[in-house]
Amino acid sequence: MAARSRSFDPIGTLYHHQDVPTVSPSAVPASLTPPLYWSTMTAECSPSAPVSTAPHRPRPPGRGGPQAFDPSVPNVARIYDYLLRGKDNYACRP
Amino acid sequence: MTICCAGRTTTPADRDAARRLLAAVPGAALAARDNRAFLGRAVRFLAREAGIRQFLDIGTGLPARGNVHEIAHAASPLSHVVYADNDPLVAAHAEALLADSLRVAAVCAGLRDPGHLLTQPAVRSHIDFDQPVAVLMVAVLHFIEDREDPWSIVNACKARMAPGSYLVLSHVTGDGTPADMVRQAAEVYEHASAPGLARSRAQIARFFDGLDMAAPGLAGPCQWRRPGRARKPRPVLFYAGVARKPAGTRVMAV
Repeated sequence: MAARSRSFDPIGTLYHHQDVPTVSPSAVPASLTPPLYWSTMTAECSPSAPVSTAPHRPRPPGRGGPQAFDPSVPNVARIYDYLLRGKDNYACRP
Repeated sequence: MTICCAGRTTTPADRDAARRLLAAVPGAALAARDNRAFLGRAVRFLAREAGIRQFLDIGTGLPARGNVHEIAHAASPLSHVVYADNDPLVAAHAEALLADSLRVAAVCAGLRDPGHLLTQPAVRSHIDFDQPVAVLMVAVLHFIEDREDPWSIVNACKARMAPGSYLVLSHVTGDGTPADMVRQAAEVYEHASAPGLARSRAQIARFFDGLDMAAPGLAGPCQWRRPGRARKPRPVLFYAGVARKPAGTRVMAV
């Protein structure tokens, strides 16, 4: 289904296999050529960036810049998403 | 239709933290939903009643039903919306959601350096700071510590907004919440990607300095222009408000 294929997971399959913190650059569909402004993202923001498996660590990245992705560190945006409990969000499976 | 897997966009660490937060503050989930509803009403007010056609949503979070661009475009399909978040996963999801839109963009940049954020190519190409713009900082400033001076960050954004622009802001408060509950909540965020800081009403009101508050002023999210009958009072875990930059104020070039 076209709509489903658009609902890609741009960072790999992490979200859907919740306990597998792997990020594969090849998992990014070719159709998702990054637009121009993605060039402003740093390497740590890139889908090909290595994923840290270190235990919880104190947070912040550089001022204003993108955060590093570390699945072992609770992320404030995703905690908030969990609090919404999907009630206000799109259904995963229509 | 783009489908975002809400509730599945979390890691075990996220879920564990969220559960601990809910154990400490049982009303947190309801407050989050009230806050989300406030965002929707504020954008609707700005798009329909205030005639705002440019929106910059900073600290946007994961896409959810009733995204800013959906509400803004319902009022005017010509509205431009830029989402900014320093979480690359959020930016990636926003990008996926917006792939088809010419008037919406997402940038991976955070609030801590407004000069950097406001000069991002996507921001500059979509937002004309010579015209009124709505800058949204909904449930984001409590992730910035006092030592980072969130007030000066907000002031830097306000300085670049044209007269007639609006600031939309909500923030976690500890007013009326037992100190122990506030402490436990802060502990949950201690090991998270950002700290969680409850601030007083007076501290939150300072973010609006120099602006004219829209009615009803700084209020609980569920009290802000909520249609229908007043509901049973709930504990206030957030304060929310919308304010307009008055005419005749100085504007700093972006």
